Amino acid sequence: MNLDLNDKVVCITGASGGIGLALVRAFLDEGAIVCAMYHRNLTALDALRSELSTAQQSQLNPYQLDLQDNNSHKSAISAICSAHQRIDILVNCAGSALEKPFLLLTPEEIAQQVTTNFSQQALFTQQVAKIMLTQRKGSIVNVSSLLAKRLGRGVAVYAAAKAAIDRFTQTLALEVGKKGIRVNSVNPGLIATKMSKNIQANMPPDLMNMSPIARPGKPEEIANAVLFLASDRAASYITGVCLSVDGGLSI
Amino acid sequence: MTQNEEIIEQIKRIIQQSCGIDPKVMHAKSTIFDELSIDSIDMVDILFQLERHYDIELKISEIEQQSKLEMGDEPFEVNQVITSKGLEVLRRRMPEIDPDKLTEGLTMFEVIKLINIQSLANMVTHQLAKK
Repeated sequence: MNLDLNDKVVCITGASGGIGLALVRAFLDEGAIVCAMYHRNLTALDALRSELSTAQQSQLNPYQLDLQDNNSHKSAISAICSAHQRIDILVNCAGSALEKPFLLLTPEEIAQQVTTNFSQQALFTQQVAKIMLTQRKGSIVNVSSLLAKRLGRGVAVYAAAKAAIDRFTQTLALEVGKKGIRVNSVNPGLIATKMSKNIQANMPPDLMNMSPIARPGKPEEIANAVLFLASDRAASYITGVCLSVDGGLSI
Repeated sequence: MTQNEEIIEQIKRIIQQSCGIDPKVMHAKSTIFDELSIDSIDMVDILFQLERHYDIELKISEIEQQSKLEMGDEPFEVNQVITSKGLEVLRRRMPEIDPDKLTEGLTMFEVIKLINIQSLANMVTHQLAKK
């Protein structure tokens, strides 16, 4: 199926992370113009660029974004709109999990986990949704987590923030649907990335064998689900969905 | 056509574009939320479009903020209910609203429900004057 993502302007936060890079690659393969938002690590995006064709290289546009700074949100969005005149798709992929027993978390760590994994996404989404409102069109996909629904020992606050993302997805979908904006999320299970290694350390050792598809997921498998939800052709009647992409772990 | 009439016509055009409401059924005194059944996201859309059209900033919350500022240390509301003095200020600041509707026991949420097309026009005029 043609997802009709060719030349769509896609803004991806957390683009230099494990799933983020797979997202960048997947959207480029579909012919999209990718605005890859990174904070400090441009190296990973540069490495990806070296693997791309010349045509794809011209479609990859890295933008520096400090999600903790609202002014950085505004200047990044303004730069994207100046260059491309619109934002068709937003993928909120930035986030970080702090693996630590809940009773040992400091107040700062608790606040940081909520901010990094929920508040900053909401604030950035607010800015982008304003653009989408004027366009009368847009698709937002949040990268949530299996932990929003089950498991999560050692990552209580991270899991709670991801659960907040799920409800944010659903309630925002209610609010902006009539203006042509769809909002969905994917809930990755155990994915072979650097970030999920620590989380997996606290999970039952036989967890993989308990799942119907008895292996960890690949970042590309999350990216494919995001492509589907982002596409107005493939998912035109889908909004407010939190799609588990976890090999059946959440069953 | 006066400036006020022009602004009202512009607001009607924007509401028609945003919500598909026939301008013929809209009047300066039509309340946005109750009579025109415009919901919050439509209202946000209308405000954005007015901001872009006139190159101004519009905030509904400014009605409350400006009223509080005018009252100084006197309470504008107690337990979210607007005080008698607060209502006096609102009657003066929002002459487009029937004073009989600004009665004792109102909350700010209920006052917002009374906002009509003329209220929006007044907000636009106020902001244009500041430019």
